[in-house]
Amino acid sequence: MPLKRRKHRLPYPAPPVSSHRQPAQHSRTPRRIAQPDSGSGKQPHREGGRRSSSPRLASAMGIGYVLGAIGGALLVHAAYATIQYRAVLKITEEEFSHPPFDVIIQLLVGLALCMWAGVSVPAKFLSVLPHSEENRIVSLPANLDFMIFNHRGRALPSDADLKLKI
Amino acid sequence: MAAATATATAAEEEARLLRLEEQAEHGGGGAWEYLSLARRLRARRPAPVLRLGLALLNDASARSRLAAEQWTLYEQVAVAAMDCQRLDVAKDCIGVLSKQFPGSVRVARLEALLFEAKGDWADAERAYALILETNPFDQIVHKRKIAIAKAQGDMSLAVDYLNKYLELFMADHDAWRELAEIYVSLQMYKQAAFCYEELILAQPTIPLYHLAYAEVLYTLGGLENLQTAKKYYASTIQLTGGKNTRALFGVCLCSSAISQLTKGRNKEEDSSELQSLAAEALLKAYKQHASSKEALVAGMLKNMKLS
Repeated sequence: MPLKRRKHRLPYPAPPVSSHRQPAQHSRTPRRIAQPDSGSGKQPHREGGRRSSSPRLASAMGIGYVLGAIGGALLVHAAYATIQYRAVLKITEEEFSHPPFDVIIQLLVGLALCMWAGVSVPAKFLSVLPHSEENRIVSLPANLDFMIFNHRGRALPSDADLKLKI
Repeated sequence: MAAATATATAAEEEARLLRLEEQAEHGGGGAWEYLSLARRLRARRPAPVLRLGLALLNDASARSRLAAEQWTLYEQVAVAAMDCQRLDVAKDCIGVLSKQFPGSVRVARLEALLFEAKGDWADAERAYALILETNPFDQIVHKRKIAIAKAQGDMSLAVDYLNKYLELFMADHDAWRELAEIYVSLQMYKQAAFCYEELILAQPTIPLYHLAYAEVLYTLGGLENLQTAKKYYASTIQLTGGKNTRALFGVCLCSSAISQLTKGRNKEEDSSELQSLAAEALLKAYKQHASSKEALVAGMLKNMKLS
């Protein structure tokens, strides 16, 4: 999955639909992944925002962990139930064709819970779109390999008290 | 360091660099963070780098906290000092480095760079030739030789060297960019357009190359070039999410120039929606950020019959 992740960026996992800030024409293009163009509006205040809503982060992470644990337990229980079912089948001397219905339900629910936890616990998603606010390129780096020193720095000497103490 | 790994600067990181600079200049700490970020973004900000870097280097406890990183800082400060024409500071830094790493090529390059900063072209050439003897494929040294030609004002020699260099190292997009800029400065727009095509091929997601290519094509003129330029302006708008004012203006200018060229023939008006949308976006941006100039822009767009 071509998604970048960064830990602990925003207090809650990103909503699974693209946000209203994204123009409709872009979300239609197929090669882009529908990624929420994350809260660029609050970027200057991000530190503050993170600190103030950290309980929310903790609770979302906590719920994710709990759901993941329940999902894992369900998967383990489904495996155990299947083994028992097969043991019963051996005693009654029947053929094993498919696991019982409740085991299948357990598997599906466990899978869904584990997927939910896997998506929500690590961190929020980052945008991969080149035009999203945090990826938008505004300038090229100075071409330092070709730097030359014929510029106004020659005529404007910097303060003379700068000195390297050896 | 060898091959060009420079990435373009995203809006967020650029803002972070400036914020850190402000904070560090006012004694708010974060000097090392700022210096690292400046190095990573390859920003050319010699004066603050020199001031903050020297402050770190002169503080023995800060220096020991940096451990092995301090040598990188010495190098960074040396280059910044040369850029500020503080050759004495640069010389001291290089002295420390050559004592630490005797016989290092990287330090030898710095020493040659110091000759360049002094304007001793012959000495610098000699020093670079010495490095090339042991390592004939040192990209940075080849680039420095191009820069020496440029610094002496001999642009045709620089173009010569660059073309030879690019035959060897075709994937170096920094060099392609430099060649494109030199061609533009020499008003050789066809050649510059070729370089920008290479750059767009190499890094298609950087809108600034699309923009520069469109501008070169617009400067060249002619109906076909103008139509291509308009397409590249449009792709710049797409890549920047419509935040690039220059590209918006470019679309408007291109379409007005095209309509002037095809006035008699009354061609199909296929993309009239694009220019009116661009004009609308321009007006909206001006209303938001510079409402006093909105009337000017509206008048100009009216003259071009776009809105």
